[in-house]
Amino acid sequence: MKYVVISKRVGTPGEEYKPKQNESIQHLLDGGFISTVTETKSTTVKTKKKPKEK
Amino acid sequence: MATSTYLSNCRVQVGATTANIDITDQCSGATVTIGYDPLVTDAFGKNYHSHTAGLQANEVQLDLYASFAASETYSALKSLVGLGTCQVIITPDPDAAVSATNPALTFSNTFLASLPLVTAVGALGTYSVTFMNGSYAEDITP
Repeated sequence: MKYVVISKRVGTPGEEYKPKQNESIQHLLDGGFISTVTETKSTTVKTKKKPKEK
Repeated sequence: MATSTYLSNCRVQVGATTANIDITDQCSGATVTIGYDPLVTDAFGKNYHSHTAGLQANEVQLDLYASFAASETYSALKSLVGLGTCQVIITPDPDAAVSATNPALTFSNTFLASLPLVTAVGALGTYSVTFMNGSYAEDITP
């Protein structure tokens, strides 16, 4: 899971927050200092190729 | 006259296990106590009291401005109350890199027993919080 910095108190807002090993971050999420990044996949529309005309 | 003086201006960081929240701009005072429990070693043959060091007995007391806004003191401290794993780092010069002359005074596994809010008419609300005990180490790694 990825996290992004919300508050300048924990880093540069907008940058990814990378927790150190064994670092507790639940209080950062609860306090609104960081948030989870929801990765969205772009929707691609598949179109069927038209059959070639003979 | 003193050849070197220190104008108080610390960087203050706190956190649940790692001091990952910088609350410097909300802190107006800090009292840092580093020491040991004195164990009495009085014995026959001496005409004075004597001691040896017992367990570390450390304490960090912070004076903070109260704020209930997002990502401010209340949200930073509320989840630390009752935890015995809090870490507090006090760095004497907030603008300089950590070094032998600007050590990061690191208190780990401290306990925050309470979050006392002090309010009065016409005055800024404050918290006076005390991180008790835990271990102390001096970090001089830049």
